[in-house]
Amino acid sequence: MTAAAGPVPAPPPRPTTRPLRVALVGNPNCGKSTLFNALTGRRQRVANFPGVTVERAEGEYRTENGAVEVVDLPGTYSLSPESPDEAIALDVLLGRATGVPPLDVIVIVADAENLERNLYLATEVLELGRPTVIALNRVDRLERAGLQIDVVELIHELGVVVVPVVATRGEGIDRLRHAIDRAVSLPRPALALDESGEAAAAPDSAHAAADRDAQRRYRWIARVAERTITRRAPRAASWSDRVDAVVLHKVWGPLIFLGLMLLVFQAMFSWAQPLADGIQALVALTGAGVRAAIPPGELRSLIVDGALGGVGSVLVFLPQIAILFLFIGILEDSGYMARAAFVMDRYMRPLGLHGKSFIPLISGYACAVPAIMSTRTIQQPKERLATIMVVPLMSCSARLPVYTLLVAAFVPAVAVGGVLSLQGLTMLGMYLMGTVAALLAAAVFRRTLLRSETRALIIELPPYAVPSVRVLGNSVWQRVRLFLRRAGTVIFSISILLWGLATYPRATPVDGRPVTQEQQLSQSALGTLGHAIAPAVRPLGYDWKIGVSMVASFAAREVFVSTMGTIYGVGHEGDDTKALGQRLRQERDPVTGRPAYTPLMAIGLMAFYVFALMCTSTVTMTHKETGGGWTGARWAALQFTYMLVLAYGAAFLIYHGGLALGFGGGA
Amino acid sequence: MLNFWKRRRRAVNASSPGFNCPGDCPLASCPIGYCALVVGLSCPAHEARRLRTLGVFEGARVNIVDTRSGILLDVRGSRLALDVSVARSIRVRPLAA
Repeated sequence: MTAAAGPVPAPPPRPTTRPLRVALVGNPNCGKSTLFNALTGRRQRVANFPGVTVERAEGEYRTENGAVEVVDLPGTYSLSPESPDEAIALDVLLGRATGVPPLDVIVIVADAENLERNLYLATEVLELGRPTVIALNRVDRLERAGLQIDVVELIHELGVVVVPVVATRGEGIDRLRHAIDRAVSLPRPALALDESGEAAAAPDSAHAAADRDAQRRYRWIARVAERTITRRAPRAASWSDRVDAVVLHKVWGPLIFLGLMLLVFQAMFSWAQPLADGIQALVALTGAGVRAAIPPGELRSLIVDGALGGVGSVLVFLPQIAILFLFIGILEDSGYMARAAFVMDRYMRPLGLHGKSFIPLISGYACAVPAIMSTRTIQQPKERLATIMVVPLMSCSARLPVYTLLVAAFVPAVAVGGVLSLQGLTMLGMYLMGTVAALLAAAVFRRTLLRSETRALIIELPPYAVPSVRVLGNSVWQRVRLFLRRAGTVIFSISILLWGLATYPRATPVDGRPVTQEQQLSQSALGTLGHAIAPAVRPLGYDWKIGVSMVASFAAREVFVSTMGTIYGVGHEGDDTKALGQRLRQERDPVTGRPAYTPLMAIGLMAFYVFALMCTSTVTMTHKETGGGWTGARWAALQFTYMLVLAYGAAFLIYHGGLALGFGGGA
Repeated sequence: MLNFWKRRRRAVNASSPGFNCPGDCPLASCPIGYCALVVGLSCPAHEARRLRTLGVFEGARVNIVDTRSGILLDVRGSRLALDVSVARSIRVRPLAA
């Protein structure tokens, strides 16, 4: 840090046409995001810093002097460029981050309740010598904490304007805006941490130098604190310590966390369902409207089956994304997430994952798309990547229709041990198989491609707080918008492409009879593909029909069921799973006359769907969240490939292992 | 749950008088309720730097809030949770309960 802290050339005076550029910098949990919201209101957007997956929120507001652009930097404890978050913060502050214009004013957000620790970062930022304002947040809590801060004295000591604010209630925001406007014309901060005798000590290791630097800062802070902070009563064991004694407890802690996760899981699975059904009904209604308005033909098919189908497949994820991020927001903003990470780290560490990896993994049971988005809470890049890579192995809700069809069709409904049904156990087995594979894969990734030195568990536990509805609403809205914008465009285009593959070339009528859906699909480009991969799936026991369905379902797994429905002419309007199952059991091999599909094959096929990454949305999300561009494409390709290899291997082993053991008989 | 609370109460009350540590000891073996002066960090450099930015540096005073599930510290008003392996690498001088 000391090397980078040299004076930076002064930016030119603010021209009236250019917006003022302001950055918010501060410790994690100092209320920075709330202040950002209070400053910028609704005008904000979330994006990544170029080339890295560190998130940046930008917003703006207007004053009588013109527009002010605010960038919210990731929360950091210091400016030593070690973690990607801190390196980005430092680069932006120094005006050398690519794609981020240089700053005019730095706003240090400091938690008044925790001023001494917050001043550590402040000393580093003030040493940059840029126009700076300190927003002293949460001054309303000082009274209760038995603290008093002499703001005037603090301004004298630090040499910059200090504005007390309460971000949650919007208090002091106008004064802060005013101070930001004036900061450019005020003298630059010139922080002198003195103690020259200390610096002249014999040169020794970098370790000792860093240590002396920290000591020097804290000594200076201690002196400032002595003059500005009055502590009326020593902090007694608070109720939050009592809560911590339970939620951090070795036994209760994980149980409480599991209970909360069960709630989140339940919400994603069942609360989101009516909403998702509503969206689907709306899309179907629109489709019906289009059908009524446009005569049958290519255009109608493109709009209804291609465009609307594509839009529907994207929109259907929205309720789950909104609900998951609402819960994550509540967990984060209440201060519980840090506790959960501490408690769960013990269990996730042997696998090479972070305590916070647990939430994406559990969310993966509902849907991998929001789960991958939620890995952003994990700050360690390699642990985050490993989590992203294995999340799609958790059986998501889109696999359920496939499992349901095959289990209902091929697993006899007999009781095991009196109470458990064999069908239920098979289903459970599929979920277990995916989960175990995900944990093992994580361990493998972290010991090979994504190796990093072991991380010490040092976590700050922020004080408990009631989350602000506005901040929560905002963060959910930002995620939803991000998903719609990024995944929406890609998934939509791929849906149209798949529609095109399934529709063209047009099948030629035989003997003047109209073309059936099955014929059309078989002769389309998609059908040709299905026939082409038939030799590849034959070792697994599948025919071209399953091949086509598998190819079609590379966009989304549940398409497997509707494609099989189309092939067997059972319609795909919903409740026909039973009829389709019946049809599958009756299907005979045209050559041997034996049943074409056996229970063994069905189990193999289910295993294939447990492991295979057949979901365009997930591939898109992985690409975006692992850095986009070529880097993201490589990770997405690796994820797709390793899961496909696992899937093929598992299906092959099950089929041939079963045959060898004599389970090959008909249903 | 209730028993757990009662036990905790007793644990907190009982911890103070019995502990006798003449010189420096690892933070991990410091009992609940003690204040301690940090005298040395023997962990890898990047961990030490992280600890320092969080207020755990040579010369800092920390309060031991809880030691039963990892180590919970009060560092200048903020709560810091460490696992035992980190706490073992921090040498402290216990001051007073």
